[in-house]
Amino acid sequence: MSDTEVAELEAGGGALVPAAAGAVEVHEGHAHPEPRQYVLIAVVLVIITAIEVAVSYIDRETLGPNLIIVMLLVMAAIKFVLVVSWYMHLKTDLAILRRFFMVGLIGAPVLYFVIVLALNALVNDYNTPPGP
Amino acid sequence: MTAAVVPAGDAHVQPAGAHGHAATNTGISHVKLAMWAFLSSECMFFGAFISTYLIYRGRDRVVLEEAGLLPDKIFDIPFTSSTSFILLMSSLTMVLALAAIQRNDMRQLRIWLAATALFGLTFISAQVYEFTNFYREGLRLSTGLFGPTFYVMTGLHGAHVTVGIFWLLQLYYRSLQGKLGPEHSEAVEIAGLYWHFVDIVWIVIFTVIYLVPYS
Repeated sequence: MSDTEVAELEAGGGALVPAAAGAVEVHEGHAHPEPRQYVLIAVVLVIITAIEVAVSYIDRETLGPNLIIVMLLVMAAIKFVLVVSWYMHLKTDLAILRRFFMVGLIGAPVLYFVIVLALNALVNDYNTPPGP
Repeated sequence: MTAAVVPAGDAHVQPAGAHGHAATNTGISHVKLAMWAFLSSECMFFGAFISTYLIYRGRDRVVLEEAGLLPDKIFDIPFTSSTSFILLMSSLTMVLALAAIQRNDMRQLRIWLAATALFGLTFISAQVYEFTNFYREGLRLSTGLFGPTFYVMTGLHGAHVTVGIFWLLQLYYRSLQGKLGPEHSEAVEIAGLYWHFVDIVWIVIFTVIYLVPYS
């Protein structure tokens, strides 16, 4: 940092203190996307949502219920990744933030499978469909 | 590499248009890191409710059939798709608000913040309307397993949206008072992270509850 920058900061009332005491040194980072790119992502999100809704109306006998569910989940995952990567800037931000988020993101489905396994193990008739 | 130092005690201050790497142990501001940690915990929070819904899904089919309240029958997909579209668009306006403050365009910032809050308000109004309709049709909080899991999950999501609206309005007010400048872009970014998270949770809820066939 040049003497001029230090003088300007001190003139503005800023105190230069070590990082551990709270000062923040800011370096050049990754630039955010342009507004045009944000709009483009929004268009893609809307198109995927429209396809999702259309797929949900397809007769289940035509494609099979499992294929419809898989298609819907894949499209939701694409939308999820697009928002997180572009709007929440995880694509360009520091890797540590991705790791932080991944902990919760992986933890949620793990939680689901742990509960399902626990129910299978602890509840005798868990897999028996409820009758009339 | 160029570097600039900002005053102590204003750790959320960041240069316009860039992800500053703060001189902290992690290389990122504590506020932002805390928000990501919070969002990570929120993944688990909503994950628990979505898991509960999936585990109970279909196990009260008889009760719902007898009451004529099968989700496939009572859901109004075109209506909910419209509200999902509105929430998606609110994510766009939110990120445009961030872009505006980063280029010091305070007028655009206020327009996009107001638009985001308005979209959020529309979404909440639509949810209240939907809940009212379901209640009139007989779907109560105590109806089978679907009633509680549906109302609690979507209601908690709605509560998060409501908190987000107040947060946006607070930023709007600060901007009007001239207390929100480009040096505070991280304050808008943090609010944006929360808002986008609310959006991605809805992406999952909309697909899992509304679009995936129940029966």
